[in-house]
Amino acid sequence: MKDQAFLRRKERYVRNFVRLTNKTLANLEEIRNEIGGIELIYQKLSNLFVENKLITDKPIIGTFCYMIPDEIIIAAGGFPIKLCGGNYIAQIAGDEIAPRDSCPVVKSALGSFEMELLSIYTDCKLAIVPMSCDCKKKMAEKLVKYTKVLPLHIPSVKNEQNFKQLIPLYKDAIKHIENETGKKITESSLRKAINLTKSINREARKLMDFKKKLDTVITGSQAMAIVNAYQYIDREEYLSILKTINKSLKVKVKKKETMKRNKPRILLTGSPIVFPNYKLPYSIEELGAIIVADETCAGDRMLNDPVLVIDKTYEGMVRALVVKSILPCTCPTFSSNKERIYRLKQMIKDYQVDGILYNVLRGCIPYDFEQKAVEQLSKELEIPIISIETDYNTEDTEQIKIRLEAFVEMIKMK
Amino acid sequence: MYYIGLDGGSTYLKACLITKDKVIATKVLSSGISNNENANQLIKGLCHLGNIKEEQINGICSTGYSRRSIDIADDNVSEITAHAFGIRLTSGQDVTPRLVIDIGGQDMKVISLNEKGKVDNFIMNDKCAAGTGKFIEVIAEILDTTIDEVGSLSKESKNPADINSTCVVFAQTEIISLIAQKKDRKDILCGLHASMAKRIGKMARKYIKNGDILMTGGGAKNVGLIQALEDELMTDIFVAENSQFNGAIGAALYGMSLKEKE
Repeated sequence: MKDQAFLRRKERYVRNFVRLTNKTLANLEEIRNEIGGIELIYQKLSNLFVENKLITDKPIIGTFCYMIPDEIIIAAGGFPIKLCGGNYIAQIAGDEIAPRDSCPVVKSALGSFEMELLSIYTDCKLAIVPMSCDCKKKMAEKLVKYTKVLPLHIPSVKNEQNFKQLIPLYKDAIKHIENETGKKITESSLRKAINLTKSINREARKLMDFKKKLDTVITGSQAMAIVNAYQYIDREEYLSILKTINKSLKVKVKKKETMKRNKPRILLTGSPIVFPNYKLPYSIEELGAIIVADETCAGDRMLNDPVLVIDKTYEGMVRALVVKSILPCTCPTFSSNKERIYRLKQMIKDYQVDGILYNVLRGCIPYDFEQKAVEQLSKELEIPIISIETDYNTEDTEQIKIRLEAFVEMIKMK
Repeated sequence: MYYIGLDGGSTYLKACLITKDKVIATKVLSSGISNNENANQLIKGLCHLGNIKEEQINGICSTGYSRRSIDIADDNVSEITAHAFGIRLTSGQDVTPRLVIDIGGQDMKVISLNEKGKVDNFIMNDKCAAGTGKFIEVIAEILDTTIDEVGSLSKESKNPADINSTCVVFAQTEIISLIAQKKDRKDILCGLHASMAKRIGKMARKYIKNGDILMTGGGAKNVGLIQALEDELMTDIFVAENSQFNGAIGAALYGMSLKEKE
């Protein structure tokens, strides 16, 4: 039994958590660019983050980062959810648990657990934490207080030898998942799960293709909400919503219901942007730019790379999933992360980018480190870059807007 | 063709009246609480100084923090763009600026320009107001002098004091202890400017390239700071004419460019 003081505190946190979520949802709904089906996404986000409804009756298996394939959780009958937090109020709650200089993603995840802010945290059966950055490593330690935790070793160097060691670790993770769901993964259930996420990948790539067109039909904030929401919706249902959205975008293209052409096209990269922390994308789009490309890990990177199964046995499929979870991952926690620069270069070309917005969440050292390399790339390609260091607070919004606005003007006058 | 530029900063509202190639008049008021009233008063004053009627004004453009709350302006533009435009009239004939350092009341900007004079990059201080006009103002008060005199006082220093804190509040504490040690205020001010220059230099060094460095904003009126910055970067620093009004002049020029497009 929690005491009364805790419940009163919790009530205050929940109240403000909901207010903040509502603000982001209202901002999204106000975007004057109607897309059929997107209201379903907002509805789902509101169901979870505002009404705190139960979103599934399957056992919830929480994950962090990019490196845990959803397929193994789905195949075991679980519901995979990314527990990375994006809410400032939860960050404040987490401030008491994590040190000042740790990142807001970790703080708000910890705060959500501590204050029991959402059903996905209170009902989480198992949290699988990849040992990616230092903050995640130490967070895993703290999470033990709230739920079962499985720390998963991720090598910092991508090579054959390290990769071989990984397979048994993922197999061990599968055992842990099976224990929680009470269901064994079979060859057919794994194949089904892989096919499902592959279909989602395919639809997500279609969505990204719409953003590549010079005549844009979708704003970056809207696209980000759609992709972000993937984590919180039943995957079958998500697939059908995504199909509806893509259909409606296709109609928009046909009817030429496109946005103004002269908007500077922005590539967003850097630390993760998790709902409802849409301060940066929303601000820069409000100031007349449009985010067309998204390289962040809670955004398009999450759905970008499909799994490639060649060997169709159980063994082979697990291998393929591990490959997908590590090799294409452009997280800067990997040492010598040239993939990220290649990917950015490719994206700048594919999406016809005019400027780069680099987000550094305060405390996110790996992304801060790689800022220099991306700046170098920006110099080479003569594409201007702006770096913003901030966390989830809203107090610095105006100062940030001054810089974003000047950046947008600068591109326009080029 | 007459144009007016208004620059609503944190401390002062600056205004200027220009024609295509000349600054005719400038005027300034404390920001106060009513931007609109101040703006109207400034415009009247400028017209009087320039000996023109208000109907003769072709366009009014605003910049600065409060640019959107100035109702009389037809257009507005961000500070960065305004400063890049402004130097066309303020940089003086022999200077080809590729780097503009603007020291305002509560912020400082370093703007890098390409060979055509267009912005190709910029940085602003984002954490606090250290190294800005407000900082000097606070310290000047402690040292019983004014912001207009700190520059010349500091130039007379023979043995600058060491000031390590960049935070206004901590620097204040440090300066009070320097006063207690009976240090000369000239030396304290000189040390202060050196510490500011170090901070500004850190931001500016990233963008230094061929071409001149131009100082704008109220801070450029401070000869002590200019000298400290020259010593820090070991290069010439040029001061814009009408430096405090560079933003306003730039806004007016920007407004003019919009009207010409129409």
